[in-house]
Amino acid sequence: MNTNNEIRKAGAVLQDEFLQVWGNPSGWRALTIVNHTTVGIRFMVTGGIFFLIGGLIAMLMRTQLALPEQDIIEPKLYDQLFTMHGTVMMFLFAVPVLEGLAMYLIPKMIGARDLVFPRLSAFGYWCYLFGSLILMSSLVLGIAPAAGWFMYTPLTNDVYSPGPNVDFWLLGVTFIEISAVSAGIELTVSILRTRTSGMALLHMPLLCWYILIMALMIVFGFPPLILGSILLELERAAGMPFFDVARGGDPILWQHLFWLFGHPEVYIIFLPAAGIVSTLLPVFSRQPIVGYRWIVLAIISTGFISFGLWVHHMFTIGIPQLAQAFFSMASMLVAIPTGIQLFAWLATLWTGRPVYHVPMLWLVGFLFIFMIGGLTGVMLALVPFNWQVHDTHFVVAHLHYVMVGGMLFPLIAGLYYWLPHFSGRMPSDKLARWGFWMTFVGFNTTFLVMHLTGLLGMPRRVYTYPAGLGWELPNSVSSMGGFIMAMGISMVLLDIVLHFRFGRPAGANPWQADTLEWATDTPPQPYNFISLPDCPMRHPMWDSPDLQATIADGRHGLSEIDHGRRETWGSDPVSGAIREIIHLPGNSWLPFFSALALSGLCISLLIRTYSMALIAVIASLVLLLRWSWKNGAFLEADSDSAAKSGYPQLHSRTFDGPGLWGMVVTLLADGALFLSILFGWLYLRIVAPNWQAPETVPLAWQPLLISGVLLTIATFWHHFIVRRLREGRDDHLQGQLWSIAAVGLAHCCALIWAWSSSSLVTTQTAHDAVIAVILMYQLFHSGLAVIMTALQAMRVAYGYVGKGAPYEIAVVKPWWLYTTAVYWLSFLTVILLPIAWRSA
Amino acid sequence: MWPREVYHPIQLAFGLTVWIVWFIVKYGALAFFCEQVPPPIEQGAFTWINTTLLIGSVAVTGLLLFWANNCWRGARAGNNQADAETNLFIAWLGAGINLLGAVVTLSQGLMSLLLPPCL
Repeated sequence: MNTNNEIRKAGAVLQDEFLQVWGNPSGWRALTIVNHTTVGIRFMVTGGIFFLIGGLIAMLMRTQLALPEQDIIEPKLYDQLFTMHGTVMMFLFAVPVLEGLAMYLIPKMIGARDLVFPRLSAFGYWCYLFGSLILMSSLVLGIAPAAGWFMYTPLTNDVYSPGPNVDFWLLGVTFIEISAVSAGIELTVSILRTRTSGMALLHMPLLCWYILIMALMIVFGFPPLILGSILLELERAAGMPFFDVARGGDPILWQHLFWLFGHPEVYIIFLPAAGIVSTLLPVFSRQPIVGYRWIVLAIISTGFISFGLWVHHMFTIGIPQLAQAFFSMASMLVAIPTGIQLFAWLATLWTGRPVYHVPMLWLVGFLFIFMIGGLTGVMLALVPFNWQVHDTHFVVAHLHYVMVGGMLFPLIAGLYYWLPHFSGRMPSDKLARWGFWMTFVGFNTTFLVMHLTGLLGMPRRVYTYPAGLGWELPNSVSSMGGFIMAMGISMVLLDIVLHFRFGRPAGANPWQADTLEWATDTPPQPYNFISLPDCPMRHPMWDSPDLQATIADGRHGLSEIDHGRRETWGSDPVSGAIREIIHLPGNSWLPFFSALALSGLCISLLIRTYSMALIAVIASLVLLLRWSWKNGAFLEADSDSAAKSGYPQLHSRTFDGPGLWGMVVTLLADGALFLSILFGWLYLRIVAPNWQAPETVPLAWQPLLISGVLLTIATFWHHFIVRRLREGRDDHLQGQLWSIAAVGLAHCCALIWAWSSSSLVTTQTAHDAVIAVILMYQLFHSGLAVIMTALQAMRVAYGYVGKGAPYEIAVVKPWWLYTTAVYWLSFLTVILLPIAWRSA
Repeated sequence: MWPREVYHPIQLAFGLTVWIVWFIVKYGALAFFCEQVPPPIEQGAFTWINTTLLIGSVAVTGLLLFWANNCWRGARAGNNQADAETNLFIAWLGAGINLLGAVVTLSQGLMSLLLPPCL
């Protein structure tokens, strides 16, 4: 007994010490918090507020459409409302709220203390918040985008959409996407590299698989839209004609870029929601999920196949029938992995002993609604049917069955499930059940009927309709259903708000769940776990019910805190074996101010004040470089990491730390952007109806060749010094880094020389405009490679980098390799291919 | 003993990456040749473009099935290494992903038998 008391006391002392290192500040300094629990909650609360705004917009539209020939809302405002409803729900609610949930849960589920790049999480949140506020301000000012949430050209070019409306969308959404991509990178590396000891891939909670694939889909799926938005903004602001047929562009290119993002986006939203289902069903069925491996197979397959469907949104634009058949087939085949998951869920219910608590109600609602959405999806994959119902309310109904059924219902199930984790209290069962049934009945009343409205021929996005077409009754029913649903959602909200005050205390692990997040305190402490347990199993809380107590008592790994560092395990991505200790950065103003500077850039581009934009660019660059300087080899860290016998090194002493993984995943996103540019170049070249290429290549190949050779030399040299560092040699390191930076600078100068001596007129043809974009892309990467290498040289002088701490130079290496690969690929595509083409 | 490749985590993405690369090549080639050298519409589905796409699809399907079989046999054979459980998990998933890649490749490829390429 005495021994137990002593252990408890020691645990309490440890808790105080951990709080001193990990505690969150209050007041203004709360803006510096980078902890994943706080940042995740911020994402979810902000996303929730945008959901309510999006819902209010929907109510306004349903009021307008309730009866024929109403003029409550004028057409121009209606256009803004339907555009903003889609935009808010997709970009400001669905993705951020799921990312927030993932950020909150993932470290706790994998037994880590935080996400691997906490400052990046905070930066992502501020970008999201500022971007959203910029976008929403347009609605308040009455100049919101009004061209539909997928912004098709030519409606969105400066001829048909003059004024800043479309610019708000392009700049605001791009800014928000920075946040999404940063979260994608963060989550990918965290799941792969920070799992607790022994948690091999086959032991990962299923939600982690779903989030891993979602994160990778964000990494590959968002760049095409980022590129599209940049190109359209360049066309609007600088007159570069990417989508203008008269000058060699093609508006269909926008559709490709948008849907290359847009269709995977559906699965980016669906997969985490399905992950919630796969997490909750076994808990409430009181038995492990049936077919773990099959579900993992389904998740990975869904992620891939969803990238091969995008053209099914474009079946009516005149694509050859055979090409349509490819996409139609892929659209039907994606039902296979979804079917696998559905059968696994049903089998789990069938073989388990289900208890129908409130989250289960939402899960059953999900199964019903999503199945209908899936079936109408297969109908829409059939080309002739698609032609018939294109741009009608049938498509709107299908979309809502997929999105609300496939995302909102599981999300609310998850919200109820993890509510005791957020607050330590239980919701009201009665209010929760009322909330569910009103939402379920309201939703189906609204959207089941809307299929019929569409089949009767009512087009989407019309602000009113004449009487006598048979559309009156279904529209009235849909509007009534919409208000019933709104009441249901209000009850859910009321329940959540009230439970913070009146909910009964939840106690430990109230649902008898199996995963590690329930081994934290509820609500959790900022550090999650005082000690990090071994976890070579799928159901740690079922296998070791006393885990919460033993973790809190500090009986597992990495429970030392007297060094004052924030630490978590760095592990092998496959086996989960411990490789190093990851030293995490603490609270900082840098993410907030960096995002603020970038929002200044966004606003100055919006109002087209380019001198202010230049100042904002410089401010952003200074802040981001300052961040990289401070975040580097951790000046405060000393070499005591091996103090406890058997502990591995700090990650800054290794060549394979999380920063390298972060860099590689960043380059995957970057590569997706570059491939999108190449796709645009080849697409316009092959398909644009009025492509105009000059007789000779407008860039001289000699300076380009010199520039490329210099870049290649710099890259090989950098590669060479990393190899020497691996051998433990760092002689003349600083001088070599300065020399590499100088060679890189000479490469940039040669490239600028090639451009300035060219005959490119970027506003005249799409041909010249695309080449200019490729040159800008190259210069950005080459310039950054030079700056990063120069910074490394300076850090060598300060003693922060060297053979004792080689980590940072290894992180920069892939950037050089990527920049060189991009250069030669661009040279091949822009210079050599057209020559070969012409001579063929 | 099976080649170690079937236990490599690359198997978690390999089969479907091959499919997606082939899909891009196929879609790009179709657009290119229909623009540059479109066969007469009267030929229907039996054109050199469709034949090439079909042969390519069958070849890629064959490769994917071969890899799926390798992974499956690797998963059934087991191995004696420390990470045996994880390795078998990867090989099993690799078999499934290669097989699914083959199904998608062949299903799309067979469309070449039905429709003219450039209409």
